[in-house]
Parts: sequence; structure tokens; C-alpha cells
Amino acid sequence: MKPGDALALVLEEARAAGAQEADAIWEESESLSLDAFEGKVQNLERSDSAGLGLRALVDGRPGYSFTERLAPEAVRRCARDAVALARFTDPIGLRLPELATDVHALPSVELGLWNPAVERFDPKAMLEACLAAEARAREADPRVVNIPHLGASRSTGRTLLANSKGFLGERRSGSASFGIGVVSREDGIDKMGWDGISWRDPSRLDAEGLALQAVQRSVELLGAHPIPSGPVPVLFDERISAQFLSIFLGAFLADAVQKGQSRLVGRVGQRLAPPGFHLSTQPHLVGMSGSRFFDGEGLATSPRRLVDDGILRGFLHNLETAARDGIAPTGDAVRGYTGRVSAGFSNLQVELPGGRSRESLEQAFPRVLHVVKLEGSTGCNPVSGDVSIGVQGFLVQGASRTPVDRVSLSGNIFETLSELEGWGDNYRPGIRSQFVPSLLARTLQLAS
Amino acid sequence: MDRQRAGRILQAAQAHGADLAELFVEETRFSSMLLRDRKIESATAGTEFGIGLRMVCGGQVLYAHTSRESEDSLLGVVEELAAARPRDGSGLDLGDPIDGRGTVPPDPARIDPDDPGVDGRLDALRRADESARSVSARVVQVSTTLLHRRSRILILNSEGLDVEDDRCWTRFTVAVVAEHQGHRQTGNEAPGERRGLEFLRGLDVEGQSRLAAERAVRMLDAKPAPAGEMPVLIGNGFGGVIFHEACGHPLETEALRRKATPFAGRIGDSVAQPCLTAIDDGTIPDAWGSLEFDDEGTPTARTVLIEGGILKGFLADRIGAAECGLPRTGSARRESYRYAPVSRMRNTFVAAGTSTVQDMLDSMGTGLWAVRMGGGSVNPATGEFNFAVEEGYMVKDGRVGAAVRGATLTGKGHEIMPRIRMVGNDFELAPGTCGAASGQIPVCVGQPSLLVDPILVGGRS
Repeated sequence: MKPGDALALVLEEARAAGAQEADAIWEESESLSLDAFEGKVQNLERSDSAGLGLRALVDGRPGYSFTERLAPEAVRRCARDAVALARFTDPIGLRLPELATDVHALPSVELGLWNPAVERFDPKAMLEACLAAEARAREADPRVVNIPHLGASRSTGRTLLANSKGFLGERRSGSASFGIGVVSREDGIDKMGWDGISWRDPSRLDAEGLALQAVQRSVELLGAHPIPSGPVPVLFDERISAQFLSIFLGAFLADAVQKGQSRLVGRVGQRLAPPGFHLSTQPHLVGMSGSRFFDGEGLATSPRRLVDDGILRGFLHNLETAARDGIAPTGDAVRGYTGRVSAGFSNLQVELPGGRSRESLEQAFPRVLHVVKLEGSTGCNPVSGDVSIGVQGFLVQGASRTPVDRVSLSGNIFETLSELEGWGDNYRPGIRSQFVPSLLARTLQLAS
Repeated sequence: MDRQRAGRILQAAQAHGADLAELFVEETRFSSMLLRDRKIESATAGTEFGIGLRMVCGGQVLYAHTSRESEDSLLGVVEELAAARPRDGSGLDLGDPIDGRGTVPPDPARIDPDDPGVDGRLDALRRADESARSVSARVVQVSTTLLHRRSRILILNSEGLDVEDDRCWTRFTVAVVAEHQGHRQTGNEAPGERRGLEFLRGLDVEGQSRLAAERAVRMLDAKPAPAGEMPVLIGNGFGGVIFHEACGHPLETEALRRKATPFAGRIGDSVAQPCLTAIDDGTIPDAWGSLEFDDEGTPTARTVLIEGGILKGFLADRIGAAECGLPRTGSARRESYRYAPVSRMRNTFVAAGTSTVQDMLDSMGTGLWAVRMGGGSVNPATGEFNFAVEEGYMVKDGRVGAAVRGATLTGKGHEIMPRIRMVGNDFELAPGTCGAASGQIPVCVGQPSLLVDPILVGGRS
């Protein structure tokens, strides 16, 4: 079935089966990827997929279903499944929004999510990029011993959302990506360096530049060793600062706050970070991964600061959590066709004004651990904010810079944020959904 | 899928230069229920359907997946893949055809969520919830879920392989949050088996919930863990996640064919103390990671990885075996039709030894008893790993002391192996989900308690 027809059918069948309200999502995607190893293609993959997801509300009780079989009979079964499951769940007290006039099938081109050039990124161009990058990496440094990760890809996708109140929205996106992982060796010790990027326009992929960067990131850690345990100021490089912060972003979900699973319960209006620090959801950044005009429930999105000048101002809501708090919906709902409606950042941004250069941050204390690699996040507790994480990086002492590994850092993210000494003045390049500059923490506990 | 239609598609793939062509047809039904804060918060059902087409041309793997099952559409996919293939003329001898024909019949005792009258799930979730709350007034939140998955798959290849399988997985999870004076701790249990909902009948859901709640409450009194190198007694069952991540992944041919493993070229070498034997076994009845046939149709097997400290073998799919010159082990796996199969683990474990937990506590001096491990990660190319300790205690002169929280274990897999000094007699398997190149798949990890001396502990004090 065509997406519009399938959405109309599943909503109609849900109504006929007893749902007073329903919303449904259609997602389809196509992708092509190529991996190379030692000058040859190792894998080539292409895919197309489509799926339909339904939320049926029966007397305020939600039931969810999805299907990748898209013939009319399968779509009807999907509707029956959701309505049947709704009888098991408890009421959530939400009403779908009346049709908004300011959101309807806004053209994705305005958000820059679609560039037809992406379809010209074909296997030949991908292989050329891989071979050029591999050759460049191998000649860049004699210590390079292996390039186990080398690949390019393109993907395109289309999402349609419809509800029983008459909303129908659509967006389309496409991107091209390249990544390379290099292993170098010295004195029998291996270190891996990686770099990768995505752009809407494949001509912006600089495979050889990324190869050199990956080599640099690999060899710069050779000879690393532990340093003695103790408190140390830590600079989280912009390569990993978003990864670090994202471990704890669940604290900003209204659902977690309402259920007591966030350290930010009861802290609206209080100081979380130093003055000048702004953390926002930015749905209208041109060309970025999390950009969108309507959210997962069909509401208009808008930029909003959750932390404004260091003060906590609010949380991320969907219709259900907004109703529970008795506030106006904020348009932060997130949804895929197989899952439930949740909430999330539509591009997380730590804003740059007030940011400083890397050199300035590294010299802010006589001794700074500049972290460029995180090793897993499972020692971190997203609820309490407790941090315990293995890291690699450099100990910077004035002009001296020595590589460090086999150490772990511990502390608490919320204490770290409140004592933030400074932040950087730029983001990692490429299309992404998180924009976090490097972050300088006054002190964490280092163990070796 | 109609065999004649499939035959024409496979022939077309061969005509376009495939040495081996394969179709993987999958239809999977999912269902899940979540009870949180005494409310059924969500109930979901769904159907996944798709076809994976693999063409092996020399050393290249061309893979496509689609949900469009018409012959024209699939022939179009073959042509698209063939046209996209960069030709580099390399060859690969794939060896003998897989000897796989057959249909695995569904277990007659199996209970499916789609069967009419199946409604014991709500009751099980509510009993589990009450059981956790009854442990302590400090229990402030309980979430319980039931997850069920049934996959019907068909694998056909250009050599005549024809395998049908009907696989079920059922899992119960409980997550408990306990709170005292503003401090929170969590406890989790997540038993699962490769069976239908009949798995629930033999499961003590109340007992599982109690275990999770008691752990969360115990850890409320824990102090920050110390840091530094020390002997660590790693608990049985889920403690095997360290072996899985740090040694299991580097023993997959998927790592070996990219030369991204410290075990390359080391079969026959001593890689651990003689007390250590490690096995990956896909044949354990009903175990979470077991299979009758792997995902390219090879009957599954029991594979000895390390025996008495000597490296014996790798886990190989067909291409990995051919490229690396190793025997196939029935280890080709994929999450779904969306992934080409590669070598993956099934139920991977360190075999039982002879020491008691008290023997090991007595011999460790001062160190950490990591009774229960949390998750972790590893870089297979370098062996570097990092794991969280969910429940830990300090040990001094063989005596178990205060509970500690926030500890992590850090190191390199191949360096840790020789430091496993004693192997316990309390072997246990635990189910989990493993993520890698061919997606998220069900596996078991397992081990008896192991004394590792020393290992780097990261903590706060």
C-alpha cells in the first residue's frame, strides 16, 4: 500500500474496532553502504524498508502495534492488535491535539534535510573514497599496522505522521557518511584512532582528511601510561563531550522527573550551571539530524532553553507528561514505528557564547587532564548522576603534553556542571543531533 | 516462499556472478507488556517481515534486504546489487556446501501470545510487583516487563540448502529502585529462555523480584568504592560478561578477518592459566542463546575456545572460516533479515573449576568481591575493556566487609586472562543481549566465580 492509504486505513480500522482516537506513523528508508579492507571491497549492502506503527486510544487507554507487512489485511490486523491491547493498559488522560493550522506537510527543503546529490554517492564513489583514505592513512605514519574499519554509506528516509483529528505531516531526509578506524603500534602496544562524519552533500566528505585525523588520533596515544591517582581538573574534548553529557540527558525527560527517576526533581528555578551557560532544544537548525517542524505527535516544534543562564527552566514533554503536569504541550515527542511515544531533544545544543579556545582551557590550571576517549558508560548512573568511567587522553602541564591511559574518572555530573570552569568555542563538524563544545570541569577524582 | 520462485531468484544471482546466493525469509511477531508504578503502562504487538538476499562473489559479500516479496522486485534487487558491485577479481574458496536440510518442528508444549485465552501475563507482572514491594518500605519503584518474540525463518541457498525454523524467546525483567535519605540504588533481574510463554510456568517471578529488591536495598548502605589495582573475585553467572566482551569477541572470525584481534595466529598457545577452560555452546536445550541451525543453515555446535589455558579455536561463519582457514562452527548469526550473518557468540562461558567461594576469599587477601557485574564495553581491536560492578563488597583477610558502589573494572582482555588464578565450582549461565556488526542477538554469558589478581578498579575513594 502507499503510505497515505495505509495511514488512512489503519486509522479507520482502529476507529471501527472501538478506538475513539488514534495516531499512526509511517517510516521508510533506503540505504547503501560499502566496507573495504586492504584495498578490496569486503561488504556491499543495500536495503529498503518500511513500517507502520499505530497508537489506539480506547477510553483513554493506549494500545500500540506495528507491522512491516503492508498489505490491507496486515494493516487491518495491526489496528485490531492495538485496540485489543488497549484493554490491558491503564488510562493516561491525554487527548490528541485539534488540527493545528500552522503545521501541515512543511517542505523539508526549508530545513535542509534533503539534498538530491546524496543519491549520486554510488558504490564507485564510495570505493574511491575508501581506497584513497586507506592509502593516505598507510603512508601517513609507519606505525599504522591495520585499518579494520573503513566504510562509506548513504541513506534516505521519509516519515509521515497522521492522526484521527486530520493531521498529516511529512518529512524527508538523506545523508552521506564516511568513517575510518586506524590501529597503530609501538613497542607491542596497539592504539585505535577513529574519525567519521556525515553530510547532506556527499561532496563535503573529505575522506583523506578524515584518514589523517584518524591516524593522528591513533599515534598520539602511543606510549600512553597511567598517572597517579588523585583529584584533577578535566577538559572533555568536543569529540566526546556530547557523548559524556548524553549519559545523563534522561534527567531532562519530564517522564523521568514525574516518576522520581531524575536528580532534577523539584529543581526548576534553581542554578544548575554557571551564569552564561545555556542548554537548549533546537529543532530548527538547518540540515541537522534532529531538526523537524513537527514532533512525534504532530505538534509544532520550537527552540527552547531548558537551562537558561545556568538556571533550570523546564523539561522535555510529550502530550501525556504535559497533561500530567497540567501545562501546555511543548512539542518534544519522539516516536518510531515500532515503539511508544517518548520525548527527546530535537538537537541538543550547549550554546557557544562565552566559550574559550582549547589552549586557553588547557592552561586554565597548572595541570589539566584533556580527555579524548571514553571507554563505556556503564559505571555511570543516569539517575544519581554518579560518574565512573575509563578514559584516555593527555596530561597537560604548561607546555608539556603526555598521553595517558588505563585511568578512570569518578565524580557526579550535576556537581561537575554546577562547578563548570569553562567551555569551548566550537563544535565538532558534520551533521549531528548534539552540539556540545568541550567542557572544563574543575575537578574529578582520577584512579589508576 | 514458493521454492520455484526462490530458485529463479537464486539462479539469477548466480548468473550475475555469485559463487553462492542465499535467501533468508523472516516473519517475526513481537509482544511486550510493561507494568510500572502498579499500572500497565504499555502493551505492544507487532510484525516484522522481510527478505535478506546475500550474494558471495569472490571475497566480497553483497547483501540486500527488502520487505517487497514479489519476484520482479527481488530480481530487481539482484540486478541492482550486481550492478553496484565493484569488481576486483579476488577469489575465495568457500569449501564444501553446508549440509543443511530440514524443518525444525515447533514444540507442542509451546504457548504463543497469539493463542486465544492467554492472559496469565498480567497476573505474573502484578505478583512480581507486589513481591518486590514487600521486601522493604525503601522500595519506591518497581517496573516489570514480559517480552515475547517468535520468528519463523526460511533459509535457501544456491547449493540446495533448505532449512525452516520456528524460534521463540520469552523474557521476564524486573527493575527495582530503592531509596533512603535521598540516595537511590537499583536492582535488576532478567531471566529468559528460548521457549514460548510456558517458560513463565516454571519461573518463580516473586523470587526473582525479591532478589532484585533485596540487592537494591542492600546497596543503599554501600560506600564509594576504592580505586587502584587489587585482587577481584568476580561473581558467577552474569560475571561472564567480561569474558564475553574481552575474549569472546576477539575469538570471532569477524575480528580475525580484519586482523583486529590479539589472538591472531595463537591457536595452540597458552593464553591463560591451566585452570581455565572456555566454551561457546549453541546446543544447550532452551538456553537463551541456543539454536538448532545457525542463520546460514549450518547445524549449531559446541565449540571449545580455550582448554586448560591453551587457545583451541575461533567461532566461524562460512566466510570467516574460508578466509581464515578455520573449521565452521555453526556460529553465523544475525538479529533479523536486516543483517548479513557474521560469526557471533551463542552461550559463551568459562567452565566450572573446583574452588569454593570461601577458598577464593581466603586466598585473595585484601580486594574486591564483585558479586554482580553490570554492563560494559570493549574495543576488540585493542582488547581494552571497562565494566561496572552492580553489587560489590570489600574483602580483608578473607572476611567480607562493607558494600561498595560505583566500582568499575578496567583492563585488556588478553592481559587479564593469564591473571585468572582460581576458578570456582558455582557455575551459572545468564541471558543477555549482544550488539555487534549483525545487530542485537540473544546470547548467554556464564562462569563460576573467578579470582583475578590483579585488576584495575576505578572508584571514588
